[in-house]
Amino acid sequence: MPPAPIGPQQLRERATILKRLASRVESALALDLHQRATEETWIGPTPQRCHGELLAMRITLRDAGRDLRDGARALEMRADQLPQP
Amino acid sequence: MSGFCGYDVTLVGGLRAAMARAVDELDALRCSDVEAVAAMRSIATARSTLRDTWLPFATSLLSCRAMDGYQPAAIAPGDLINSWIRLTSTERGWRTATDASGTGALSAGTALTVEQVRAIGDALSGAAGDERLTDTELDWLATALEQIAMRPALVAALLPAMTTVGWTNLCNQLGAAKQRMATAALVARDHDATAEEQADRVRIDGVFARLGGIVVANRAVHPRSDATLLLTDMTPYAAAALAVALDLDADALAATTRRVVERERELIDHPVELVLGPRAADLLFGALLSTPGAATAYVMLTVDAPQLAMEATDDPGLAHLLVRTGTDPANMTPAQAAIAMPAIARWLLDARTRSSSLMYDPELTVTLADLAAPHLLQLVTSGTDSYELSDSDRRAIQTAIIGDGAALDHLLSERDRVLGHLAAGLPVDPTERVAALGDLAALLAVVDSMRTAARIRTAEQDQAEWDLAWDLLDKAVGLIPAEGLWSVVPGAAVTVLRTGLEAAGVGPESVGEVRAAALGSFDTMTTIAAATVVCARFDQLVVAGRIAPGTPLPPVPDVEADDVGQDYRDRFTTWLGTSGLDDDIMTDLHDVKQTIASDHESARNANDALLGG
Repeated sequence: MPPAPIGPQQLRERATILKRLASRVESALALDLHQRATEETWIGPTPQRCHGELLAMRITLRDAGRDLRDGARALEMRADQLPQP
Repeated sequence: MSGFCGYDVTLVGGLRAAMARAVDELDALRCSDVEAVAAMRSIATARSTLRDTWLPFATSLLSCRAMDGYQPAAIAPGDLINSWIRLTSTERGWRTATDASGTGALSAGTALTVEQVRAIGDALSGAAGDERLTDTELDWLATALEQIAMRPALVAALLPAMTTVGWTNLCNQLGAAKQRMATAALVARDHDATAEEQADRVRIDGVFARLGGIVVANRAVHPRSDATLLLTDMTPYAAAALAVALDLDADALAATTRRVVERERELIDHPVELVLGPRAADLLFGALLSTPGAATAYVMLTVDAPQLAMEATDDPGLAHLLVRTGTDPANMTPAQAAIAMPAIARWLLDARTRSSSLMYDPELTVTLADLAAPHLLQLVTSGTDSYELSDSDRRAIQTAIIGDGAALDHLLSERDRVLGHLAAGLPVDPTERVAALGDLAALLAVVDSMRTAARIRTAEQDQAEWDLAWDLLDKAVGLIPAEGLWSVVPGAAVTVLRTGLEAAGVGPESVGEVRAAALGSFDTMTTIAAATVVCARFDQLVVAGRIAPGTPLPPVPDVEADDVGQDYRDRFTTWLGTSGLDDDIMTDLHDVKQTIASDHESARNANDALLGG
C-alpha cells in the first residue's frame, strides 16, 4: 500500500520540531566551552589544541542550527504551497 | 621530548564540569526527522569529541596519578621550549603536568604572543641560555627567532627580557660549538662533512643570523642603539659570529673587528703562530671583504699594529686578501696609502725574521711584493709623491724582493696592478702631463734596475719584464692627451715605427722573437718607448689638423745601431729641426720624447737608489 500523502499540517509540525531543535543547539553549553579553555585556565600544546577544537565545535554547531532552520523554512514553504484543508 | 601543560586547578575543574554538562545536554538532543540528519551528525561528532577526548584529558589533570605514573611534574629552568608554560605557571601558582596527550613541543611555527616571547627572553637569560641547547631546541629557537625578527612588537618584547648575560650565554655556547666544528673540519680536510655535521652548522648559523636580524630590526626603530655593546662579554669567536650578522657599516665593522681581534690576542697566552683552529678574524675578515669600504677602513684602523690584520686569522690567505683589497688604489686614497703602505711594508720587512721559530718566512716576501705592486713607485723612489720611508727602508724593500725569486716573479706577473695607479689618464696641464709620463719612465727604470740587480736568468722572467715594458708603452700611448680624439686609429708614424720594429724582430706582436740583447737593454727599451709615444702623439696632431699632411714622419729607432738611444736622439733632433713644425708642437713632441728617454735619468736614479749609486 503506498504511503499516505503528507499534508500541510504534518509539514508544519515537522518544521516546528526542527526549529525547536535548532534553538536547543544554538543555546547549547558546548558553544561556550572555548571561553573556559583560554590561557587563563591552562597553557600548553594540548590545551592549545583543545581551545582550537572547541572553537571549531562552536562553528559546527552554529552551522547545524542554521541548517535546521533552513530545513524548517523549506517545510513551511512546501506546506503553504499545498491545498489547505 | 615531553610536552608540559600548566593549569589552574579551579578553572580546569570548572571547565571539566562544563564539558560534562555539555555532553549530557548534547546527549539529550534527539530528532529522527530526515531533514535533521546532517545536524544530528554534527551534534554526535561534537559530543564524541568532548566525551572521548577533552573530558578525559581534563579529568586526567585533576586526577591523582600517583598509581599510574602520570605524576605532577616540574619544568626544568633550562627547558627553553616550555619556558612560557613554566613562567606562566610559576607566576600564577599553577600546577604543571607532563602532557601525555600532547604532541610534544609547543610549536614555534604558530603565531607567538608577546608573553611567549618574553618568556623565551627570560629563559635564555637564565638556565636555558646557560645549558647546552639540544638540536630540537635549536631548531625550535631558530623558527621562533625568525618569527620574532619579522614582528617589531615581538622584538620589543624580547630585547628587554633578554639580558646581556642571556645574549652572552647563548652566543658563547653556539660560538663554541661552531668553533669546534670548524676545527674538526680543518683537522680532517680530506673528510667531507656528514649530513649531520652540515645540519649542525646550518642550525647554528641560522640562530646567529636570526639573532642578528633581531638586532637589526631593533636598530631600525632605535637608530642610536649600539648593538656592538652586546659583544663585550662574549668570547671573541662568539662575538665575531654575531657581529657578522649585525649588518654593520664599514667603519663600525672595522672598529668592532679590531676590538674583538685585540681581545682574542690578549686571551691567547702562547705564541699566536702555535694556535691552530679558526679564529674570530676568520669570520670577521670575510664580512670586511664583503662590506664595501670595510677592508680599507680596517687597514687604516690597524696602521699602528699591522699584526692585527696580518696575523689575526688561521687562514693566512684570508688576511693577505683583506690587506691586498684594503690597500688596492681602487679602494684606498693616495693620502691613505701614504700612511698605510710604509707601516705595512716596514712590518713585513721585520716580520720575515720575527716568527716564533726565528726562521725566515719566504711567504712574507711574496706578500710584500704583492702588496707593494700597485705602490711600487711611491715605495722605492724618493720624489714628491713618494711615501715617507728612509732610503734604507726603500733599499730594503727592493733587495728583499730581488733576493727572493718567487717574490720578483710575482711582482713581474702583476703588471696590471703595477700600472694600475696610472690608469686614470694624463692630466691636461702640460706640466702635470710631463710628470705623469715621468712616472711611467721611472717605473720602467725601477723594474729594469730590479731585474738587472736580481740577474734574472730565465727566459720566463725576461718575457715577463718585456711584457711589462710593452704594457707600459701601451699605457703611455693610451694616455697621450687626445684632444677629443681618443679613438683615433694609429696613423702613419706609428705604423711605420711598428713595421720597422717588427722587421727588426722587435714589436708587441712578436715578443717571442725579440732578441735577448734587446731584452736586456734598458737603452733600447726606453728608446722604443719614447719613439712609440712620439709617433702616437704625432698621428693625433695630424688628425687634429695641427700638423699638415705630408709633414715628414718622426724617425724610428734603429735597434741594430751600436748605441740605439744616441742614434735615435740624433735623428730625432735632426728631424725636428727640418720638419717645419710650429714651435709649440716641436716643444710638445720634444717634451714627450725627453720625458721617457731623458738620457737615462730615471734609470740612473733607480740604480742609485737600489744599488747605492
